[in-house]
Amino acid sequence: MTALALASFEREAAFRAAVSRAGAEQRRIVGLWSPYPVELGDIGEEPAAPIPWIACLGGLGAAILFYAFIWWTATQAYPFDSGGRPLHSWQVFLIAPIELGALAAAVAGMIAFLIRARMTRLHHPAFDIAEVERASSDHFVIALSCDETEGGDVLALLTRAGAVHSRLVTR
Amino acid sequence: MPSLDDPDFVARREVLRLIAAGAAASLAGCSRPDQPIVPAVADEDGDRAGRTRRYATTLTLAGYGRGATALVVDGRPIKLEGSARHPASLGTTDLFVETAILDLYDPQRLRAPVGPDGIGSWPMLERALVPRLAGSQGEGAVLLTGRVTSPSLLARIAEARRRMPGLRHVRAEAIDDDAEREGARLAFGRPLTMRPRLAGADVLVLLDADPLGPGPDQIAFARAWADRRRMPGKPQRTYVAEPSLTQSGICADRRVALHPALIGNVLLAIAGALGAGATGAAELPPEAALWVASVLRDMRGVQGRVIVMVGRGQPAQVHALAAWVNRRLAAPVDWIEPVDPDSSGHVESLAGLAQDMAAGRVSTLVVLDANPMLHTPPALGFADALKRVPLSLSFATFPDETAMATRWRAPLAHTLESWGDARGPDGTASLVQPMVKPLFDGLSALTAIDMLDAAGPRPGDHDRVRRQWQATDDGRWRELLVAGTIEGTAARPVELGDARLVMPRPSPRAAPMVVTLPPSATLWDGRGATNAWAQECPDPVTRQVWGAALRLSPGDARRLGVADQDVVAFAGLTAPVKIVEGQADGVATLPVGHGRTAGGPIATAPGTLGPGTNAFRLRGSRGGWVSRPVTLTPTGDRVHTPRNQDDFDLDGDAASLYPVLRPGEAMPPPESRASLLGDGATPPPQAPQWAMVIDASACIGCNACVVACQAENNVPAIGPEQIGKGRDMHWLRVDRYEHARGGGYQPVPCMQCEKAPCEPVCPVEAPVHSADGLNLQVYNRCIGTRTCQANCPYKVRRFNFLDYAGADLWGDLDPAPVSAQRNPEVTVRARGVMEKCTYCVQRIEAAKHEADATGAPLQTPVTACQAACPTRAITFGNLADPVSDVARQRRDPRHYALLEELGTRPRTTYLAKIRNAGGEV
Amino acid sequence: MSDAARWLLPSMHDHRAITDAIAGPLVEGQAGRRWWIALLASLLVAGVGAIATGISFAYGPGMWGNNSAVVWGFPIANYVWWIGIGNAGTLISALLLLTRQKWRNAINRFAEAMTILAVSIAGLFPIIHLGRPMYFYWMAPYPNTMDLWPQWRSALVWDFWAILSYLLFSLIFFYLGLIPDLATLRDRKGPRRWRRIWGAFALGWQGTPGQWRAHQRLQRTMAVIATPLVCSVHSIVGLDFAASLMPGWTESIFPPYFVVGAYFSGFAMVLLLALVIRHALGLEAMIRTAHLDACAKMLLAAGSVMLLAYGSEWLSALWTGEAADLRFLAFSFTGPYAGLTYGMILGNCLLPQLFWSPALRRSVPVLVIVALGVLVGMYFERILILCNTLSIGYEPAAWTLYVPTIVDFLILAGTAGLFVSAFLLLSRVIPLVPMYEMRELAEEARA
Repeated sequence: MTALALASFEREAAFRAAVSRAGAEQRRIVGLWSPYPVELGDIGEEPAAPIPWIACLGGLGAAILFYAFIWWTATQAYPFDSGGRPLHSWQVFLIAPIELGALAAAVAGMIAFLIRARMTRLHHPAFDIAEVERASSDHFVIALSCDETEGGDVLALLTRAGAVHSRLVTR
Repeated sequence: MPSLDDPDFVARREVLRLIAAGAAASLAGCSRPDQPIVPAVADEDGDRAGRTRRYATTLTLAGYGRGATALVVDGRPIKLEGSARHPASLGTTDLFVETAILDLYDPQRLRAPVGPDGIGSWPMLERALVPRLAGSQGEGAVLLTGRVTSPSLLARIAEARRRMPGLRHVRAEAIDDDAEREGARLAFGRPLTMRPRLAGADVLVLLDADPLGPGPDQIAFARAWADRRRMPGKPQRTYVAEPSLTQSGICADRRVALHPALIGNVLLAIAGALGAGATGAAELPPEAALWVASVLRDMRGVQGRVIVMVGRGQPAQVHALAAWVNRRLAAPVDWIEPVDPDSSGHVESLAGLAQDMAAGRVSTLVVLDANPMLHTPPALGFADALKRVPLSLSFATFPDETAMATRWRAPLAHTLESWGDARGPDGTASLVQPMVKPLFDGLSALTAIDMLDAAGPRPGDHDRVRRQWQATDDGRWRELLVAGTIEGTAARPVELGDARLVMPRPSPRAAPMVVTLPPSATLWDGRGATNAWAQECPDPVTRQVWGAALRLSPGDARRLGVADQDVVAFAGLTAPVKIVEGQADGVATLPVGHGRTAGGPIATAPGTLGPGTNAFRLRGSRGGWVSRPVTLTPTGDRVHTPRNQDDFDLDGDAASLYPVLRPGEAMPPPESRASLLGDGATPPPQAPQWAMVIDASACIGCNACVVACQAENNVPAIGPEQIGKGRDMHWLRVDRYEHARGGGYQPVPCMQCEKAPCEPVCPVEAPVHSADGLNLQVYNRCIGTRTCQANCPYKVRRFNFLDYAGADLWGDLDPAPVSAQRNPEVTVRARGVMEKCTYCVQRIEAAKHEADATGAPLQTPVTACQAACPTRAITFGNLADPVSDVARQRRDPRHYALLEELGTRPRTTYLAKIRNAGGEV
Repeated sequence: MSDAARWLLPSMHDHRAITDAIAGPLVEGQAGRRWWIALLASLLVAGVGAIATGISFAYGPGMWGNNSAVVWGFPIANYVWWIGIGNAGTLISALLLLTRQKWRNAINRFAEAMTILAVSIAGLFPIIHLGRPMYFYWMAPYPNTMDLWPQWRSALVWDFWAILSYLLFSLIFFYLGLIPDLATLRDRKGPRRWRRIWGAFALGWQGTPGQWRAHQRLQRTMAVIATPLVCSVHSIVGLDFAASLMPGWTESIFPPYFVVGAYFSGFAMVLLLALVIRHALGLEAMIRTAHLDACAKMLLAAGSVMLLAYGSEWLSALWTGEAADLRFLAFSFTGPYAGLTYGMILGNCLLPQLFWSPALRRSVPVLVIVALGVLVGMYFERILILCNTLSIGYEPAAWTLYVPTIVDFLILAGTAGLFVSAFLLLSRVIPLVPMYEMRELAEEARA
């Protein structure tokens, strides 16, 4: 029977300590929640997402497509003399694509972020845990999974780390 | 309108009904006259729908006929152009011919006879009129007209007087020529009319004379003058001495501003040098003395090639002396028997009539197309005398001052609605063809006389005119109608001996402050005041619209402590001030023709400004065109006087906008400039490349082109408030500039730039470039960002800030009839849309279609402004054709492009103004 | 005292306190009478502006002071002015983020909100000022029966894309920062309906290290894009004028000059908002005098740059001695618009110089006066840029002065009303100070 040990912390330091201890004792961390970004070293970290690159590609791609479209409308679809300017006035055709490119980069980045962060899941088992509710405001929450038998030690570990509240959930 | 001031309610409703009827009638389209009219250009496919047909006819100014061509589409005359056969038109027009077409459709026109009991009818009028005349053999009856030169009408009046010996015919034109006539009488013992041949004058001396200014002779004089200026060889020189700046003064080579009283002294000085003997103490201010010296220097050795002209503002003695000088110099001047058969003085006959009326010797007064109530010198008491006439009637086109004062008023047909004829200033006769049946139920002048002369036969105007010219067989009649002008009817010059030497009394240096009263350059004697186009046409000197200000010299203004738009009071009148450089000190100038108190909303209340000031009120009992001495006193008020141009002076580098050259001098070659974007697309070789060259030297600022463009392109008049806000719609503006080297006029239409700054900045591609080099504006594509105008260095684009096309300037009158004048070939622009000069693209396309249809080579189209220009200053044509006029003029050493340094490559370019001021300036 | 402590009072060193202080005044708290009065007043003004706009739509641009020469008037000035203000929010937020400025945390949220509102208002004017506003969409590329596409050479089309991109970009940037705070509101006790809404917009944010990581990465990435984007947007606004032929417009200095001006007016507006918000929402503990002091320094710097920009313009005119430029210079200082010129110099260059004194940098009345002075001065500058050039172009015959009408003024006032009322409403439903960033700061301050 595995159990879930939950603990809330009021201070970032304590939270960090708990995380590192859990790491040291090879406890399985199944969840970490903090009200603001916390540096946790390499414990509980997931590989970084290539969000900047995705944004960059999205922006470039959109810009290039848009420029191609402009070129087509100005020189192929309906070419005509405007103030004696060249049909393909690339100097000025560049401007709009740059602007749109920036927007496209943001959109691409946003999408990447939503996917990477597994967002838009309005219903998630984590939301059923009472402690997590306060993790968005003033508590740091850690969830360790352990065998029911060693639940006591785990809770002790967390309390020692400075948990203001901890409990064991068995299922 | 007629009896809106009439208490009778029924009558008022009647009026409204008639207004509606009139509007509806003219809206329903115009019906053709009963008798056949003959187009000037025969066309096999005849009256095809939508086809423009051209008819020769005649319009009059001050009674003198000027040949014209009416452009008629589907029975609607929509535009007037010149008639090449007529010596007073030479194929071109002036402002007054151009504006006449709007009068035809003007909602202010009289629409029915109105009597003492309100709205009447023609039968009612006849019942009131005929018995009184027929009974008494016309005893005590007076027919008052302006100048009549129409042979048919004169014959008709004579016929009527044979039947009614008592009927008197009094002739009094507003802008009279009494001084000229008297001068001739003094010099030659009989009234003669002077016809200068300006083309033959190497030296032209204008003493308070303005041959390039408004008047029946403007076209002929200006053309001759310009032709002489163009001639190779010895350059012509024009001297002007005048009290206030005129078009002639602006175009002059050497000008001196002089008090009108001192003009005589100048002539005395000249005459004295020519051996007129002791001229008395004719003292002159130094600059005038210099000017005279220079005139005399130029007069040597050009015997027979000098003309001295004196203006109507000068007394008869001065005219007489000028006649003597001209004879002495064997000047290229003809003297002809007056075209106007009535040799009595205009003012004098008015005075006589006023006395008779006051004394109750006039029982019936019939005014025919004249407005004595406006222009009669107040001292003659015409208004009071009129009240003593038992039956008075006025045949008038508009409800003018006289029509509103007489017991009866009856609508007179527009010239384009009647048969008739007229003689030009040189005697040439031409026919008046009606283009439409009377739109507002008016009678022609001939029919009006028929009504007086009830006993007489009524063959109809058409037959009378035809009989007058003995056109017995139809072929001959057709020829006459096609030509319009009748060959060989010009007056022959009379053989004359020497002129009697008349010496005007020299006047002292210190002359009192007076007001000179020239005719208005836009309203003439005031009959233009009902015309929205004329009102909105800028004055050639002040560029003021919708009214006239009192012109003062900077010196006098300083002395009085007044600035522009400050109101001054003088001789019981008030007027706002306009300070004019070149106005002589000690003399103010106020054009006549403004200050109408009747005639319709346009005439009486030009917008916010009120009716303005009627300068005729300043005339003395003996007439003349200079007021008695006045004292000007600032009232402390200010009124807004809208103008299309505020700054005339070009200082520093700005002078390059209007280069002025000495004769033979050439423009410096323009330096070429590179462009990052390259030269762009090259036009297809077979396409014509349209271009325009405007000769600044030939432009006299007459504004004919401005109004021609307005009529051709459906450009609306927008009223004084809008102009006051700095908005105007004229596609073509005539700028006036002054700088150290000289000054003059610069007509500015769209430059049709090859590298148009307006085109690439429009987000929706409303302005695009055509293969034949036109800078097109696609109205239905325009969303009104106005970026094009913001980026136009020439500021020639015009924006419909409001619904100008539907603008109602006519008060509570229905403006519907006006829309009948619109050119069906030109879009009427919507609110919020940018518009501009198109080089009359509709005419270009018409020419192309003609070429396609007939397979003939493409005829170079003629733009409206070009067709109008009296001096042929505007040349339009195909640049791709090296032998075209335009291409030739582009090679002229005087050729330059406006703001060339901007690299816009204008298609509209200029020939620089030449000023032959001589070295010693 | 650590750097962080400078920006946060000890009373706010506790996470709960921060959450309560910021989330408290939101919907569950009482709006208060002043809020209602302010809202009604601003809505009234906005309504008047809407009527004035309606009048112009009904009768046409003739209702304004524009004329044949000065075809652009207040509407374009309004556009440039508002887009300038809108420029600052995102720029401030992004720049300070990249430069790791601690004091950013307190002001970036409402600065970004300001951007979105200002840019939206600015975006209205390219439509309002049209002669035929109903066809504004012709500027967008869409397949149409006329087979026409927009004129890509037109600066107005560049504008179209610049504004569009900038507005949507700022919206995303703003929303991204908002997500964790929305989660807070979702989890906090409060009105159910609102918590549902916030919850939906929080997109299931939990605050796991992975989410925080991705969140920070995207925020930094967008900050990197935002900075050049903002500059380009206002450069393009500058190009509306610079990419022309008119004297006084064709100047290569315009784009940078417009960017600085925008940043300048934007910062003035941020300062004003900061003063209002800290007072109205009782956030003196988080938006401290030190923040105001920092903003004041920014204004001082920008104001001095403006002075340099103007100076270089005038000097180059004097130095080159080009008749046209000299005429132009004389016109701006002695012509009918001279008053505006001096007002502009006073507001944009002289008033900010007060901030050399630390005492004045911390005095609220002075801050308000200077901020307002800058905003007014910048509006004068916009008007002058339009009217100087268009009133006295190349052709003296076409010279015409510009006189705005009452309708012009009402439309301008209306935009202010719209801005204020929108901000008031916003202040009730979203935290105008980012809570999670304040918590970070608090932790640091406490350490």
